[in-house]
Amino acid sequence: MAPVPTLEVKLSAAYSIEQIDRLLRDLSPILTLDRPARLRMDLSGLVHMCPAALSLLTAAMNAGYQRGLQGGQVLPPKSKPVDNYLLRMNVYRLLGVDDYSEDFTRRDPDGFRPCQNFTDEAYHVVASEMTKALTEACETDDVARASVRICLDELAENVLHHADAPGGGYAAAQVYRKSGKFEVGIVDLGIGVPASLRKNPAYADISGDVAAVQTALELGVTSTPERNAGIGLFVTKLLLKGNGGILMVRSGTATVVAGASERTATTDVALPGTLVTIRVMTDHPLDINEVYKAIDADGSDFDD
Amino acid sequence: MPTVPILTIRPAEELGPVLTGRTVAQTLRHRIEEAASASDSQVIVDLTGVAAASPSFADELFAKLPRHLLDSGRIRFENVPEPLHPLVRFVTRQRQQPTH
Repeated sequence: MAPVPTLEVKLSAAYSIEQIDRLLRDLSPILTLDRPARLRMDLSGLVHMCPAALSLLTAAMNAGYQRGLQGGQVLPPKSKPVDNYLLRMNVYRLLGVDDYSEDFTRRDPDGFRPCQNFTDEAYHVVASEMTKALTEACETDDVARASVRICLDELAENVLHHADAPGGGYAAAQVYRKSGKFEVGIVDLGIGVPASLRKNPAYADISGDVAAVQTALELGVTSTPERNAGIGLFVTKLLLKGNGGILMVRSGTATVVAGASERTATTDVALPGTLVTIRVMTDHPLDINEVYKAIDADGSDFDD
Repeated sequence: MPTVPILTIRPAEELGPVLTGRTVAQTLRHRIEEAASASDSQVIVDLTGVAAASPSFADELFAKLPRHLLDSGRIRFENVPEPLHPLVRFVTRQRQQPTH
């Protein structure tokens, strides 16, 4: 019997929202795996993984396991705080490492949530959990809590309605107290926004992944108009714009950032699926009812 | 004189103050439609206690209800919180436009 080959993957430095493409390149041996292999993962130089990065890693690993990836050797981070962070976020469990020891007291999550999978209507439980991470770490009023909960519910529901992802979605959350930010990353390895949108004949001819994602963020745009209304992503974008935060959608070769800052990019590394991440400024207002007033006030021709 | 059976549904009591989820709203809408379609029945949807709603929930509940049941008074919404009015107007208007 042929020996199982070793798959070498190295994750290093910090994987923030802005470094997702580098993470995609680093995970590509797993994402493109087509035969059994034993994983050897080098985390010695790892500094940080944002929630979107953790969700992407989790989705990639679980997809890899389905294709014959076997957990193997993991070189832990040289930094003890980073090592503890990975333990708290259950990353070692994900990587199939059973013989690690925790030299800290594991408390209930406070201001963060390890990556959680959702495959059915329980997505609303995951959205609720992610929202709790915010309320644990900073003072929020009812309106801000409701606003976050509504956006996360819409984003998670999109996975079930549009992604065609057998593995469902993965979500993680983190409050960064010092910098006053709250991030949630939701990832699926489904068909991606461009392919989903093109199912609607009205958008079948959209050329390019960036154009497809940008269109998906417009008001009233959906691949399934009979069932859905195409409002959730648009409202999330406006909400974060008012808050000073951002919404980033990475799908196929497209990166689209919207909200308080905007940019688009086409990369040479395709994400087989969709990554959506929000960054909320915790010391700025967050009121979804103000967004509803704005879209209602402008009638049917809203132009953001 | 026969009385009209009235069913009152209070979503906040059943689902909490923040209404989210298209499937949850669809289930609620079907319940409302079924009850209202029964002979001579009336359904009151009392939104007391609702603080906010997601676009998907609002679209499913408010915009997809059959017009004839609303226009005939078989279904009535009561105590709709002021902050919800713009969303309700918007999703209803959106569904009345041609879809694409």
